[in-house]
Amino acid sequence: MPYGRRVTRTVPVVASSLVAGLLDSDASAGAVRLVEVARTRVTVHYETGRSDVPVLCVCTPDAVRLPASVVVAGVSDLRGGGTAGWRVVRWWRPPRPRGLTPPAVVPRSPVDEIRPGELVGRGPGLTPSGDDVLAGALVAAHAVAHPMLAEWREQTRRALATRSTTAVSRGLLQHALEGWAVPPLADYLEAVCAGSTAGAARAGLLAVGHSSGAALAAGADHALATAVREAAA
Amino acid sequence: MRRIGLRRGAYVDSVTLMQVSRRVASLDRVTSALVAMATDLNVDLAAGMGFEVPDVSPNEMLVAIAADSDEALARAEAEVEAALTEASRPSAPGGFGSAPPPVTVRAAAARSGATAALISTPGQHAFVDAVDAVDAGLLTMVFSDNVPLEQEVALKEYADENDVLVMGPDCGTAVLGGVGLGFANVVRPGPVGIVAASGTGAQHLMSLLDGAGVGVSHCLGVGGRDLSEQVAGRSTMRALDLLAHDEQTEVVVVVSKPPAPAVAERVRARAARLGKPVVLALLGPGQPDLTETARTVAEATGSSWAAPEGWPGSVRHGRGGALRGLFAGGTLCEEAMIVAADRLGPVYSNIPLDPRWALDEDLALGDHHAMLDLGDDRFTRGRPHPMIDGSTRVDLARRLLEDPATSVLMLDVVLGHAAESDPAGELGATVRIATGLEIPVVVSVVGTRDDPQGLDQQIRVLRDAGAWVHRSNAEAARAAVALATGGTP
Amino acid sequence: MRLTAPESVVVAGASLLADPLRRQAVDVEEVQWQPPTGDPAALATVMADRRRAAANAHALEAMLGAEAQLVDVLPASEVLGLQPGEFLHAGPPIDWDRASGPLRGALIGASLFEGLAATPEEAERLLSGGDVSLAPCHSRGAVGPMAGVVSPSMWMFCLRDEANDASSYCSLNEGLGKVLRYGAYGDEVIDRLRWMTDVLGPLLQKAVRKQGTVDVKAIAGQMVQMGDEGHNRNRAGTLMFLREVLPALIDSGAPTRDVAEAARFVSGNDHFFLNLVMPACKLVTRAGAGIPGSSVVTVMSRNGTDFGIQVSGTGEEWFTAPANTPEGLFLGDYGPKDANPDIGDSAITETAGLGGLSMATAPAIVRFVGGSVPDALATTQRMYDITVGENPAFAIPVLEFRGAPTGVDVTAVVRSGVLPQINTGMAGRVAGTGQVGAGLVTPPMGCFTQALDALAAAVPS
Repeated sequence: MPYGRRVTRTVPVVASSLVAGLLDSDASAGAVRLVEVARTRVTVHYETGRSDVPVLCVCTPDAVRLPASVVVAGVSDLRGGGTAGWRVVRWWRPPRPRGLTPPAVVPRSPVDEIRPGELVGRGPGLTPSGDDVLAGALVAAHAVAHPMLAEWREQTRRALATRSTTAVSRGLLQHALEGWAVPPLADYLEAVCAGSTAGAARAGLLAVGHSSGAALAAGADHALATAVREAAA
Repeated sequence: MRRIGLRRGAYVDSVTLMQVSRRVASLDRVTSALVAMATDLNVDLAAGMGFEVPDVSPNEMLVAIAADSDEALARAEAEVEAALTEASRPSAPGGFGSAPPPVTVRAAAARSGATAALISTPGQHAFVDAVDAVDAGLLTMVFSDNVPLEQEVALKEYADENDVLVMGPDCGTAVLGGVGLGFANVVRPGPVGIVAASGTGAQHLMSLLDGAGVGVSHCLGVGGRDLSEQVAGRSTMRALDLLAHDEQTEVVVVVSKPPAPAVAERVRARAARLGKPVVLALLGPGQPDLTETARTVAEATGSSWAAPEGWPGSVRHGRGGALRGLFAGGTLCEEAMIVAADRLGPVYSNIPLDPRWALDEDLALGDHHAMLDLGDDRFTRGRPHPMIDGSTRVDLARRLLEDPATSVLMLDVVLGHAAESDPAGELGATVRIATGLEIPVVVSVVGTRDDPQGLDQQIRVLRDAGAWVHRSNAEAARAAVALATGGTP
Repeated sequence: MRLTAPESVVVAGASLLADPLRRQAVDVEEVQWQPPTGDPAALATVMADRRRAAANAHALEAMLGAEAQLVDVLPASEVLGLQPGEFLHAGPPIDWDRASGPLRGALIGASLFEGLAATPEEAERLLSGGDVSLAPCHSRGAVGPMAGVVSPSMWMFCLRDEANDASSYCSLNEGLGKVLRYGAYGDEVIDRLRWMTDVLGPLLQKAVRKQGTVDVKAIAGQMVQMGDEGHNRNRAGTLMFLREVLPALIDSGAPTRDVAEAARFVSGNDHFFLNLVMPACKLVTRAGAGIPGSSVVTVMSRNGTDFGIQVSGTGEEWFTAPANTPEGLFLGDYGPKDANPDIGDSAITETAGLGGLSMATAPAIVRFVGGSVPDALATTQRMYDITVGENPAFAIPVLEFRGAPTGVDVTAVVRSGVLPQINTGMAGRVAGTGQVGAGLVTPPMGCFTQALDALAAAVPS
């Protein structure tokens, strides 16, 4: 049931640079209508009706920071329905790993092929595991300039246009197409490409969500493992 | 009015009760108070104070209050309640088992997973705290000034060996991934990385870039002496390296006064090898000002540039006479002096461009043009920095307005973190007085659209009071100069 | 180092710089800062010493790796080569003239015990005449509680750290009440010393030799989890030690009456294990000693007049200053006027991370020393700030099994003003009074500022 409620008190927020356009248009045009589509203990996801940031996540400081998100101090601040009264105290740039060298040794991935047409929307949950695998692969592909990057992107765009998936996942994939990552995935890629066993970073990534982290890792590991192979082939 | 009451089922120790009594007795219009367990001694005491004590047992608590009015009595009784409630709370601050605050930087770093340290301990001690931070691998900002030069060199050598960046000493401004440290502005993430030996210089540059829609990745302060011969630019070199490897940074700009020649050469050489465009903004007479630098940097990122906004004030013409400026930002003062001296000749100051233009102890200005840096030691000994508290500037401005030689007044307003919450408001009355005296006031406002003070609102307050307002300090200086020659900008 | 937005920042100095960080939703860890004591130039020199960080890490690692096995029990004449007329004592070097009541009393008693004098007056003439030699226990790798007086006939526990090829020694604990270490020298004291020499020492030797070794460090690690902190409370340690040696004691072939007497003696003395945990701690700290550039304290010790410390980077140089008098609770109707200044080598336990530094693990002791349980927790938590690391072998349950704070850092003490906390018994200032109470005491800051000066002088220029 969509609803929009005006929030009149001042809410200090830490905002991702990806939502600058949304917040700026807000300030000039009045409060944007946010429609809640999902909620967890530490996050609320809203559809915005915009094409640059289709889904906005409002979360608490301990939540995993999605690329298009805004951090508020506490859960009680998650009851609002609009952006009026939000005051940005700090901007934050989501990580976007680039220029990394794929490592010689990569953990084995259960994924042996990336087929966006079959991955998009596959599986249950707030972010279906197929989408997470694809997002992990896209971000890793960006990070190491994977030879399949252009093709995966093209196939993903087509799949998003024709297949159905959750709004939240759709938003995440859109950002993954451009290489924007959640911090645990970025930390993992940096660590493993620097040649370390990345034990702590991998554990941090696997801890994301219920199974999202494992799926992100599976997609990323596949991309890292195949980057060199594909280039050599 | 007197009232004596009893509380049962409550025991509080006598020391605490004595404190409660004292607290209540000191309230307005309360003549006396006794809060105590009803032992024989205390019952006698209460009787001696004129209270009629009912039959009581020592397990009950007496609350005896005498006050001037019913209202005062009620207030006193409420105070007793509050005090007793506080007394019954557990005494351990922070609760059972929570650790006392850390007593060294090292201890704080060990507890917190911090990745940066901000040191502002007194200058003669800051070195030791900074070494602690470097040992812990923290990116270290040393806000403290008056750190001995040998210690600055030793600290930076130590930092080099530990692969750590030291920002400072005497570094008041830094931005790391959007987080402002010290006096810094709220900037949007973007492709420009700044290395700055000047705080307000960096703040002005960041504000101009933000005004042009160009974001900043990081602003790394290096301290005012880094580019001297002795310190040899150690932090500058390290900062350049870090920005070279920072994925977000596409263009680098170095803001400083001209370095020692050997150091300048090394910086140029490093910049040439950086792999990204580096703009060297070495401010001084004959060099591009900060606004021109901002334009160069913006265009280097591929953004378009529009001149920063300015608004005319209500006093349209100057009557010809001395230009006087009062600045919170040292670099802003210098930039204005460079513009002014070029057209007007000698500009006297406590940070003069030429030693012949130095002001003496009593700041006698005569008929001269003058610009003062109120952030200089001379004005901040024992007093807060003008960016935190503008009252010194308000007083000096009033005195300048009373001086018949003053024909134009120039001010800067610097917004951002750590600066006071309403600098424009504080200056409002002074600007109005000047306007009333037909003395034009020109204000350069340094701030970004997201700064906590509210850029638009601050500009509006100044304009409403009649000031000329410019977002470019150089442009503001040119406007002030035009007004001082009796013309109109 | 990479450039990223800090999620947490350490702030030292003006609070006004901490608030804007908090308003940006950045965690701030604010340092409770105060100006350092001592010579600022010396402090800067030591902090800038390139060797310091690695040297302290090395010292900590060595301390953590030290072993402490009880391998034998032998007379001091044999194992320390002590000659008639030679005495060891607790604390830094001192002579008879400056010695306090308890130390004088103990020396008198030891002289009587060794037969060097027939009466206390004769003993006093002998001792003040200068014909005897006095040396700190530490100078021979030994430690002694309270007056800590060792004479040739006394039997010593001998402990070994094979990992570092080092040994340490301590006499056997006499028990409570009127005892030599508190400066008593009456007949009962001498008689007891005789029995300990004739019966207890040899019996324990037989038992230990039959047993092979007793891992004292392991017992210490267990007792820390049972409410003992190793200085003022050693009850669990004592019982665990007895449990270790009892079978061998019984099987020693000695007369059952002697065995029973020995068992009764040990189990009736809650502080028996103190004389084992102290030499164990001596081995721990000794392992970290003598490392150039290290600012870690390796000895803390008192002789009843002076407090003395030694620091790893300056070897066996003593840094001394007048000892403080403990504050706490008194037995019976004794009061502050009855207390002698701080005395004993038992602060070696704090030097190794036990005792007052591990106060959080011994809630039972805090009431005895006049504190509250939250105070005990807060004290240990504060000690982490002035030490270089933690010892997982001594894990403190209430702190979620965090290791004891280990390796007091001279620079941290001088900068923060926080002194290592010592938990100690109080001796009566008049010789022979015995224990008058228990309480808390700290070393004088002067020891640390002197050590700092010496460390600075030792930094290569």
